Amino acid sequence: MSFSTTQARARRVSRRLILLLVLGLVAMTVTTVVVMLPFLFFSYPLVAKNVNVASDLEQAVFLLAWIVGGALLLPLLALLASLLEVWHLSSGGQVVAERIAARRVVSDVADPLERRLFNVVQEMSIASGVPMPSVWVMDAEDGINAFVAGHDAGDSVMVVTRGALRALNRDELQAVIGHEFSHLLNGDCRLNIRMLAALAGIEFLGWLSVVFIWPFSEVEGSLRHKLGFFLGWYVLMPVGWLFLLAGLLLWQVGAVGRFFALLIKASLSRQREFLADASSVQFTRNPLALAGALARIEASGQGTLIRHRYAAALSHLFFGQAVTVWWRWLFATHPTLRERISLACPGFDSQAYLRQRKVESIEDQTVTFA
Amino acid sequence: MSNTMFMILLAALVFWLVSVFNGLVLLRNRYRNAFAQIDVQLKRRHDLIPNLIETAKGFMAHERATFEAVVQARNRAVQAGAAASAQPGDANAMQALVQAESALGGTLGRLFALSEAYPELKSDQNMLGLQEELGSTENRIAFARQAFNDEVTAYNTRREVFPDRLFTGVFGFEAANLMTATESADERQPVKVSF
Repeated sequence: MSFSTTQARARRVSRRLILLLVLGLVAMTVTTVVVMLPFLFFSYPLVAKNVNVASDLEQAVFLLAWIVGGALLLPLLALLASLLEVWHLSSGGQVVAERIAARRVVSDVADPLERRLFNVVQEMSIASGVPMPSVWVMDAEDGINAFVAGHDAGDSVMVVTRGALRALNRDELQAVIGHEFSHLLNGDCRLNIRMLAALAGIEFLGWLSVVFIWPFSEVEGSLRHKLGFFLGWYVLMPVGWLFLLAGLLLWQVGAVGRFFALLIKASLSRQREFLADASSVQFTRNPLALAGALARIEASGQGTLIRHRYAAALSHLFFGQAVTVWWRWLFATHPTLRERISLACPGFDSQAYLRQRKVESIEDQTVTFA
Repeated sequence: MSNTMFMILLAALVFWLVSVFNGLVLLRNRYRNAFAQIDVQLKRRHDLIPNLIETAKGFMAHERATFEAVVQARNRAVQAGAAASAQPGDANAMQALVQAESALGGTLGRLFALSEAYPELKSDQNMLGLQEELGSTENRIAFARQAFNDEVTAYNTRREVFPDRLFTGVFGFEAANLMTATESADERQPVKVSF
């Protein structure tokens, strides 16, 4: 299969998954509103006791306002949580690179490995037609991996682990960098921010359900003190039971929503990886190098994992799986190495490749095969 | 009534002609810019060669003739580059540039082949760095050439499709040439690898 066929298929599947995610969000919002409606309706008499209404009309208007306002409150709050997350995540590429403890590589660096990296990034920038990002190295990471970040061409960053610099030869490094340029070219940084924002909105519902079930989690004090709050809330004030019911329902909606959102996010991410692999081959016209880089990772002891905890938020912009997940086949951000190798280069013989791969003299020979 | 119809049709025609013209201008500027990218990398290659010779001279003093061949080939390539960037897409200028560059590549290849006999030169840090830079520059030239050819193809296609092709001659948009491999005997030879 040619790279253009693979690209077209990955794009088609991505569009379908994005549509699915949007539909899921709409369904969740509607369900939340439906859950809230009876709660609002039955809690109204408790509220109305404290309000002076002159006429029946005024009463009806107030009831309507209470229900509509209450039903819209949660989706609006969830939206606010999403927007906060966008604001939090859309700090530029440089901020991201610094937060993950990377060091900037300048154009006239002396270290031969970094010099080669800089040159390779420049080559791929020409091949992909994407403006040159600034180049960074994560010195503390031994895993063979790389990622890009940044929402516009001016401040995008290309961050590579020290492990990748040491373990890969020039052609393999070029394939990895080409893959990352595809993430820049196809707008995956923006997509990542949007997906994480949607998740933040859903997680907000989960957090809110906890508040509904037990609003006094912040209360300090002895067990007796807490027991007092418990009795007061659930025995003396029956409204506590209403809150509990709504909280449990919200928790249900939130948990189901979160499960499917994570599922869709992971499969969308895997499609973007296929797209990026195919685009890497488009830029380098060298499928062997991409398959070689993947085979090299498979054979190495260090793999692609990133130690820094901030990697989770960027996991789908990496070259390989950066964080461990449960139930790999459902929640992995990247397809398996085998799958990617056979798609990049059908019939590729990893063993034969690793025996005769070219090793340049500047490579750090202390890195050993596992 | 028919007058109004006529005016509307005329306006549509003018609008269409303007969009054809502007589209061609856009594509022509794109391939010219793509050529400028090749030009940048060729200049980079030309600038690296004096450094290479300076470094290599210290180790292989007896290869005078080879050094001179490289210098001459470089100077010819610089001239051909200047001529081609004056009129990118012109068939003759492109051909001359490609020939001069491949001749330069040939002499450089000979120099590197000879350097195999000088172990101290091969392990010299300066030389290793220069080899990386030259290798990277070759790659960039290849990628920039690919991009240039893509842009030229887009321009030529737009120029040749019907009905646009009826007017491209009137507007004076001439066909641009791809940068293809040369017909020189050197490049047609199968690559030999020996250890």
